Amino acid sequence: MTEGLKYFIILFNESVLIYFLIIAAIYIFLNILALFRITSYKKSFEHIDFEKIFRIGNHIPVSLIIPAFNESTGIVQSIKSLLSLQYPEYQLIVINDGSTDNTLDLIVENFGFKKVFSIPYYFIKCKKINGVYLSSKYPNMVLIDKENGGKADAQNAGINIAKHPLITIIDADSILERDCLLKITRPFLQDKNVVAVGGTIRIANGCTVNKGFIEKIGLSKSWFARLQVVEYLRAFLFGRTGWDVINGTTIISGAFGCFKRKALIKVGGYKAGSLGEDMELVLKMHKQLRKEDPKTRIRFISDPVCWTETPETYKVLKSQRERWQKGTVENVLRYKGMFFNFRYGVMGLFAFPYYVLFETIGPIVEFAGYIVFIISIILNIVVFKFVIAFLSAAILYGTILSTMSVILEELSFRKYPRVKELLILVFTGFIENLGYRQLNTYWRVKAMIAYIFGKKAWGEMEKKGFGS
Amino acid sequence: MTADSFYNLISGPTIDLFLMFLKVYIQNLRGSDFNKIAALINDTPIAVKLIGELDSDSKNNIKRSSYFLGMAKNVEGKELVLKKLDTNDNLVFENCAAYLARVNYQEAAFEILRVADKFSFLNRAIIISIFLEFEPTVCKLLADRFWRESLNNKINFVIIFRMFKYQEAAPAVLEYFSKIRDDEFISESIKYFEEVEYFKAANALKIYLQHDSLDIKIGAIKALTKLGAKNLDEILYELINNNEWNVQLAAANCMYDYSDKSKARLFSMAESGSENLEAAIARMIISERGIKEV
Repeated sequence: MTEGLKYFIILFNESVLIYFLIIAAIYIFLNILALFRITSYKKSFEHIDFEKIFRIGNHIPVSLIIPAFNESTGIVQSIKSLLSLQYPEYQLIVINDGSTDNTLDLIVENFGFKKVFSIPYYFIKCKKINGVYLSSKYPNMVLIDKENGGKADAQNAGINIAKHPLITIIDADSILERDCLLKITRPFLQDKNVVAVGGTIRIANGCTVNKGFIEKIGLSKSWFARLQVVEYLRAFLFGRTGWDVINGTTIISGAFGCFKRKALIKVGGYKAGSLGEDMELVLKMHKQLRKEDPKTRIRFISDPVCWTETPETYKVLKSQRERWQKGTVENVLRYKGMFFNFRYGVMGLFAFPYYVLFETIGPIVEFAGYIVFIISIILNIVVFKFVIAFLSAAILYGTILSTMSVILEELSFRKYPRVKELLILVFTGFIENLGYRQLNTYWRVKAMIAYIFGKKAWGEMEKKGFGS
Repeated sequence: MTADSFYNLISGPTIDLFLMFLKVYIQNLRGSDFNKIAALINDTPIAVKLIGELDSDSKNNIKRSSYFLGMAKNVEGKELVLKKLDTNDNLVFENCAAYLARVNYQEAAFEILRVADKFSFLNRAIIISIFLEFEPTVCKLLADRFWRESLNNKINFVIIFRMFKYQEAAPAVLEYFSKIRDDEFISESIKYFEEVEYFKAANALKIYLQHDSLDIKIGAIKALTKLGAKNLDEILYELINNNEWNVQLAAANCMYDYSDKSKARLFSMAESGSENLEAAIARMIISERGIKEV
């Protein structure tokens, strides 16, 4: 082996180590920010009855948009539960996105809809709207039947018909907590510069769902689902809360986000056909709206909760993760002009570069790191003891991060009532580092390669459904 | 187990445990369930312990005691709570103030407002929600002091008058409304006049149809329509061509209600076959209102 190769491998290993240390430092920084934010946030609202406050009339009316494509199994129950949310004034807009099953008929029959002569104005381009339906039984509800155009296109149709100043967008199978609209609209009342707010997504697999609401919180028996519970806790409680403190929110989940109608129309709504349309929207808002008003804020708050089903099988999870990574790459390339661009403030200087350098390129560095590490061991370039120490430190660090998010969850929101479940989550945080993390890295690298070579399809996302 | 032996169980450390659980559930209790819990607090050593804790220096104890005694509407702690009201801790203040309001200790109303002024960050909604715990008779007390209070408190009062539908303060509010140019006061006063249907305010509201603030403009459109102000047909028709969506919607809704002439105009816009925004809004409102009337 040449000295040059040896030198290269050592240099590469050291670079990976530095890269790892930088990520670790960023995570610790975000964790500290999130810890302070969540504890002070919870404390400040400890004794407040929000329903009463909003009854005073100082609320902003909300239009809730639910795109539905072939959702006949659960759509009726979902709508029923959404009709009993705690909020003084909201409009429920269901969009039948050209379903090929009986979704439209089911909704029409169950809620007494009648086709009316209202033809919407197309503020944002979307596929043709075939009909608008209203119900005499539920005057705050609108049903739109349109040609199939995908989720983003259906959301845009909903934006066109929405009449209230705030728009909340959720998935048809999302389960909202009753008070989540009261909570997610709060930042808009507190700060006029806020244009969008994201809430927390939690995993409903293993929970008992009754009449469209979570009756009992539990953990799924599937390890894939459990691993995702830990991932989501970490991402939402720490990652997104931490970035929010410094106005660096880069994504609001498509399953649950609230936006100013005016801002959505100004930026042209969701980008139809995009692989990561939720992230694309937020980046577009940062880019366009901050140019006009640098005080524009996009927030994330941790207590409005939306429960959703996540994949439990290898195949579907792989497909989902690959799509997310392709979406990330697509958005990073589309908004590359924001990279280290001081015009976009914290977003341009920190949040977006972090996304590029660590979330997008991270899997490649990590994957290459594993390979070169193995080569180093085989070629005896690194001391075996060092390898063990490094891997142990990485696993320990990963476990500590996950454990901290579980502890923060217990200290603040206490969604998991039993100690057994918390212990399972801590254990899951440990085993996550022993295969699952590496698997994720592999899927993401594969997705990037596929994206580069032009395979940009969405992939499948089959769900079991919540039954009753 | 008899009720007495159950009550005897609630003593010492078990009270802390009981209150810890109760805190989670009490907000969800309604009706007779709530009354039973309130009685349980008042009839057992819990109340004695909580009143005793009001004399301590522990902020947590004061918060907890005033919270539960307030929920149980136990009046025996009111003098002690009043003494603890003037604090630098906003959570202690909020709990003490809510207690005083829940037991309807109206003599404390202005002390609550005075201390609230210390917390500049305190949300107006929090102050109002505290005042809504009082009996509606508190409005008379506030109306009597209306002219002596700061602008900030005047705004609070107008919201409270509206929430309690207290009409007697309307002349004073209208008089001040005609002099002041503060957006928040104007906006809240318009909502108040609309709620209590104070027809004498109609003329004073008209100038706000052209105001820069959307809230004020929309509030004025709705209030004037409800109060039946004269000669609004042309104004509403102009406002439906406004460049603000919510103003357009409010104007279209009001056209539907205001007069036969405006309603007919709205129908003719809807049926014009035009694809412009105004026609779409007219169709939307007529569809919505029509389906409600089926």
